[in-house]
Amino acid sequence: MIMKRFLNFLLLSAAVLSLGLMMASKPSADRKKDTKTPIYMNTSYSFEERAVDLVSRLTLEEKQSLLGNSMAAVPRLGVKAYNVWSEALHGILSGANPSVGIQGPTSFPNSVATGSSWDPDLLEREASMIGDEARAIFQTGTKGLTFWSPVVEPVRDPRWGRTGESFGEDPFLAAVMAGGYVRGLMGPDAKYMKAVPTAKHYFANNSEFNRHVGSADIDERDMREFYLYPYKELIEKDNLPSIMTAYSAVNHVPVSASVYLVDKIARRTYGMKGYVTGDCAAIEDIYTGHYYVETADEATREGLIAGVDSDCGSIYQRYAISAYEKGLIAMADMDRALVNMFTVRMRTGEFDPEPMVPYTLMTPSTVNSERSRALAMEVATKTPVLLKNEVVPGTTTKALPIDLSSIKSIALIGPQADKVELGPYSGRPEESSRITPYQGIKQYIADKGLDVDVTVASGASTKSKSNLLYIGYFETVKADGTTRRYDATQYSSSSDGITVGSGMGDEEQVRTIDDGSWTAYENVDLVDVEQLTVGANIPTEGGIIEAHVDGPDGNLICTIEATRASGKRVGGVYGTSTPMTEKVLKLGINELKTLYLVYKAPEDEEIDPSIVKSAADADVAVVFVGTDENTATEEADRLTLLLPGNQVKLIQAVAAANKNTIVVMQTLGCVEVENFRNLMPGILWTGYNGQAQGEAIAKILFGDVNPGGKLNATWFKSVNDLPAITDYTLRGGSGKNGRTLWYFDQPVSYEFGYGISYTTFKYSDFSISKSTVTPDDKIVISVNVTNTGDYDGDEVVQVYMTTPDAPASLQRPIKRLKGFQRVTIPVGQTKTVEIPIDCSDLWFWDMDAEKMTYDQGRYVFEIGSSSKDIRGTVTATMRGQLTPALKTVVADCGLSVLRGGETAQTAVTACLNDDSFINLSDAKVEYTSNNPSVVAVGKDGKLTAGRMGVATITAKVTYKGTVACGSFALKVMPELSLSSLKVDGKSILKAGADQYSVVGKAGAAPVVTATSSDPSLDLVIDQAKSVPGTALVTVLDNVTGDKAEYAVNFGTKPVSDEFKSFGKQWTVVRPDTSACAVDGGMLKITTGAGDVTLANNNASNIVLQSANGDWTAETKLTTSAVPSNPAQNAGLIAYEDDDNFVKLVYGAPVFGRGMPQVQPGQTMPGSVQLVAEDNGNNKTTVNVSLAGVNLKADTIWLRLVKQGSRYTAYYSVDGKKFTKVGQADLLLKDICAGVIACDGVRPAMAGRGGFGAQQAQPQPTVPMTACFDWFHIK
Amino acid sequence: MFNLIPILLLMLSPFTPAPEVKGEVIGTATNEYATFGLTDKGEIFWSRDEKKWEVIDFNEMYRGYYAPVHFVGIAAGAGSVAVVGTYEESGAPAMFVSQRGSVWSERTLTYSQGEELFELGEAPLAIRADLERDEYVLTCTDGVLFFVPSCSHCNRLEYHGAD
Repeated sequence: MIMKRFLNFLLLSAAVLSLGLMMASKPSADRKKDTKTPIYMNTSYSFEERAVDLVSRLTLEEKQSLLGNSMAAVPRLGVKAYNVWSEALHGILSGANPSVGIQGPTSFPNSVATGSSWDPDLLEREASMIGDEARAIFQTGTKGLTFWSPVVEPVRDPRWGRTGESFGEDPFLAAVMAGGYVRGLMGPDAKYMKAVPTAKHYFANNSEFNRHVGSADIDERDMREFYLYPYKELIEKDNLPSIMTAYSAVNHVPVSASVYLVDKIARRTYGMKGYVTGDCAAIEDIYTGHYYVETADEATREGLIAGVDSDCGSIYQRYAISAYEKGLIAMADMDRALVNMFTVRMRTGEFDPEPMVPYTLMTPSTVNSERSRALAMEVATKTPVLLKNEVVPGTTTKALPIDLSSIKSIALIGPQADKVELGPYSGRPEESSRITPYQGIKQYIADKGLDVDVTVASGASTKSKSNLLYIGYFETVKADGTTRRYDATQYSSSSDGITVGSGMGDEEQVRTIDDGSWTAYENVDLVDVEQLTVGANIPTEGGIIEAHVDGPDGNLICTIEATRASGKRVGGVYGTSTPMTEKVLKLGINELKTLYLVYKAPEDEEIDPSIVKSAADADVAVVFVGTDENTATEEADRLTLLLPGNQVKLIQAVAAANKNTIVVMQTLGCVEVENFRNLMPGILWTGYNGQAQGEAIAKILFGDVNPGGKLNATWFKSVNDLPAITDYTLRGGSGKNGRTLWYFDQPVSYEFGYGISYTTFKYSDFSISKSTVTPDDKIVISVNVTNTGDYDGDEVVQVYMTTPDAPASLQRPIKRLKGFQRVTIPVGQTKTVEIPIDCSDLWFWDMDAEKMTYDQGRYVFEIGSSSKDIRGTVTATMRGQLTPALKTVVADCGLSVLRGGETAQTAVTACLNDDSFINLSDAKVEYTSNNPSVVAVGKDGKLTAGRMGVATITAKVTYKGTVACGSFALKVMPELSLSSLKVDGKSILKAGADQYSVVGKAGAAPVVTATSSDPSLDLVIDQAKSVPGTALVTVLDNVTGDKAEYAVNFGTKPVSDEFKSFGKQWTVVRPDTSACAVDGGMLKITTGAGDVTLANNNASNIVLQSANGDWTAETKLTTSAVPSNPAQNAGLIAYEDDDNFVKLVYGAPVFGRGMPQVQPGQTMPGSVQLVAEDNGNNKTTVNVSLAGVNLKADTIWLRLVKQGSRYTAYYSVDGKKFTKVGQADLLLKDICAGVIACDGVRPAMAGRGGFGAQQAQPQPTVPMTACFDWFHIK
Repeated sequence: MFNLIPILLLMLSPFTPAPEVKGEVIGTATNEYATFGLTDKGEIFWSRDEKKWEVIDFNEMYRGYYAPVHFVGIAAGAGSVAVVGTYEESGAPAMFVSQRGSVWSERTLTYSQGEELFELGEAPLAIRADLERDEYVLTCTDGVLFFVPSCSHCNRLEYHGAD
């Protein structure tokens, strides 16, 4: 026996030991050992778990202050301040900071240039270098690591003011190039991000003049196939961690307020995990631009609910608490946004020890390093596009490259000849790094030791003729001094294209003023007017304002020169009006007239003949022309595609003077070239080409580098080929052209993908790896490319796709780019270029089925050197649709924080690879928790919070053999409960109870003591003053402000009353003895005006006795009539005060849908109502109509049962069988029970016909007598 | 310019509790939330009823998180209160914004000229709130007015000095 017991002991010990060892090996055991490091600083937890823990520790004011881009420091938690807004479009947007040893960051070629390189690997290297500089700057504590770059908007219209920031017009090209940028900036580490890219502006936001108020009205095909395509690719393939929502609307819903666009598409369809920021003031635009809602509170709600986590602005930071207090948002909405923000910050390693983060070793010398400068130069040599290279007339030599050994002089002419134009969103690189073409060419020649004379002269201006002025008002001054001001935006007619807007400012102005535009104003009093003042803002150069009568070409009465050149103040695109005054030519006007303000660009200067002579005298003339910040920018689109200023005249003059003229254009995008392209043998184009543009162009002009870039956009012959810039649709028809290479079918100057070389290439041996394909296949298109010329060179092999068997009604694009590769091929060599094509990428959007679809039949792949220069084709036949597979599963429960004991429900969405959503009942869903003792999850996804800590809940979805998971983190906070509750030392604590009753004798109150369940919580005890009385115990989380209250009600035994007389136990609130008396064995109360509901605390004769324990109260009530409308009522009440009570009453009839209809002549039946009010706010209302109930002689029995804080109501028509009315939960203190009878107060909607057809007019209330036969309470 | 009335009330009424501050009050401002004040020692105080005052020593509270600031002015707009001054070490302009007084975030003082971004270099002398335009206006040295609207990247600089 002893041995058996001993053996059992050994076995048991072994089991315990094994269990202990097993538990010790689990990850959670390690975390448990470290109790000092808060979870958010503990690197053994996931970033999201840590973020959720941090957010749970924030006060309400801290949360609000962290919802803007300037995130406050929170010293008590060790959280540093952080500015979410930084830019790195083509280099860090900042300048030198000598105080911390930082030089001016490197400025690489702008996106419009890199887009024409067609080299995503190159852009990845550039972005990686930018990321290194970002880290070096971040180490100094002066900037963050979240960058609102790249711009991935495909350029639908080249007039868009921000074309220079985009990679091009084609979504595939934009996506592939942006992918390189995103990967480079994020870095290769699997855990930490080097820097955080944000793709923008999500989406269909490419008209500047109306970006705050406009809407892109598009169908789902254009939306998915064109505008959203880059975001889909970046999120799904490159794990893009952030997007920025645009100012504008899509189909009249501001994107920043669209749950569909932000949550459903970006997160739940594409699977974005990260944060969403609004553009600066985009949240404000929800109500001030789009008038989508009316107030800042509502805009806060719209943005947060849609999923915009951060506001570049101060709407969230000023109104989040207000919105929360008004019930427009929940704490969970703020928590979710902050968890997303802090998860991203943690993914940069900000909260981790430096040795763990691979990117913390960047020193200040990383910025503008030799390596970085060299890369900027390399990129700048890869972007230029050779548009023309013909034999110089009278020679046998092509214009390019220039053979320096054969010339003696070169004239550099043009406004960009000795200027570095970096383009938009440029930092300030070191002056020594900025190389102009003149400097680059001179240095090149000097380095070669050649004796070539170089002259330089500008010779032209880049003054823009677009957006000349913004006009706010005009004012007339008469001879007698009287003035009258007119709002310039209230014109009666205008020329085409004029708009009204305020941009980022407050003043509404006439805008989009082109050379020759006009606005007209009827009935202007010009009699005896001596002076005219126009309130005008000059965005860039300005223009001439002419005031005419009798038509825009009619009599001129005044001319105002509103130009920079004349010394007027330039306000920029955000400027307000400045008054500009001139005298008026009196024409004897003696009546009201229509005044025409006509706006003209200043005359172009004539080309200086000496400039032309210098060109004529040189062996080669190179004309450097282009666009700059005055041409188009944020808030201002181009209105013309012509080169600005008098640059075209310059080109024409120089070309006429020197047959060996080369034009080098550096622009934000396409320009019209038909008026000069045939005049010279050589034309080069580049986008804004970075700090090393001068060095690079020298290498290209002189042949060190063979230009290999290709145009990233269609170059239209004329701006007149384009539909209205406000038209976001792509397909043509009804007299308008389609857009981009997809749908534009008219002649062009240069097609998308165009670019020639100093050498020539021959294509041969075209092949495709499969001739019959399904969307599941990956194929390879192969071609041999031979360099048949005299120079080594790069070629970009392009693959375009068409589906010629698709019905014409589907309006498929003319062709779409679906693959490309840039290859370097030495002279005489052949390279086999293999371009992989993922057939799943060849989709179109089926608007009816709401998913991706694949045309059946032939897919023709055109392989060529441009979209028109097709060298060969291969064909495959598509059969079938994409095999469905799960792609994105998103699981959440709507909360980030639970309290111990609370429950929540997991919600799951699952999206397939065709971007359609499945019905989860067709799939298997399994839930797990990585920390069940913190949060347990049931098979149905129900969550139950346990002990304090964090847990990650995962939903694994299995559908047709494919599996995908979604997960979310939760923090469990201490339960706001009591671990002990005693009355005079004796425990009364009951699990789950929040109200306790102790019945005793009247007199001194017992002492209540208590402890909270967690030492981090505060405990406040408000002792009862006497018996009857209530002690209130409050458990308070001082950080979050959450609290739980526990009431200990001390009461005496309540006393029933048969109403033979008025018992001593009763007191009366607002007594009116004329209407309340005991008579004939009943308590009779005649109703008077008033009630206790909501703000109406004026009912008389509320008869009460102390009842501070648990009880059941019952009465038999007979009324002199059915309680009449609108709100007459009488019955039982549990009363703390006028704002805190529960009442169960026989009341006025209830009307509405579904209620039995009363026939004419019939008496309307009353109702039974249960009403609970908590601090003056209605908490519960239950109305049960008595229609169809046989109520004899208006007598009803009412029963109200109080158990703790729960009140259950019943009624009976015979005193025997009781029917439940409903329940109310309300914690009351110092409770009294009794009766009430009053006329009630007319509800707000009464009298509007809302209460059924029977009541066309509100009826006056006739007092009713409520007779309480007895009052029983036990 | 600061609102004199709260200061006068504090000074004249023996029954109005004053905030417990060490420095001299150099500015006050009021919005729909509270009355705020600023001392020359960088203390910021506020009250919702002008009886119970909360006080923070900004530089002490944010030691190690924001560089020490010498403050010169305070203003209150819709839903926020702002203080301006210069960083003690560098002399660069500084501006901080809060909603209720106990949490402060730094406001970037960059502005655009053309396509380049610059930092305000002129030291603020005073600040006021323009409720109509929903922006703060900083009066700075060298005749500079600096406008700080709600939108974070929409700051504007205007020069109004003598030529």
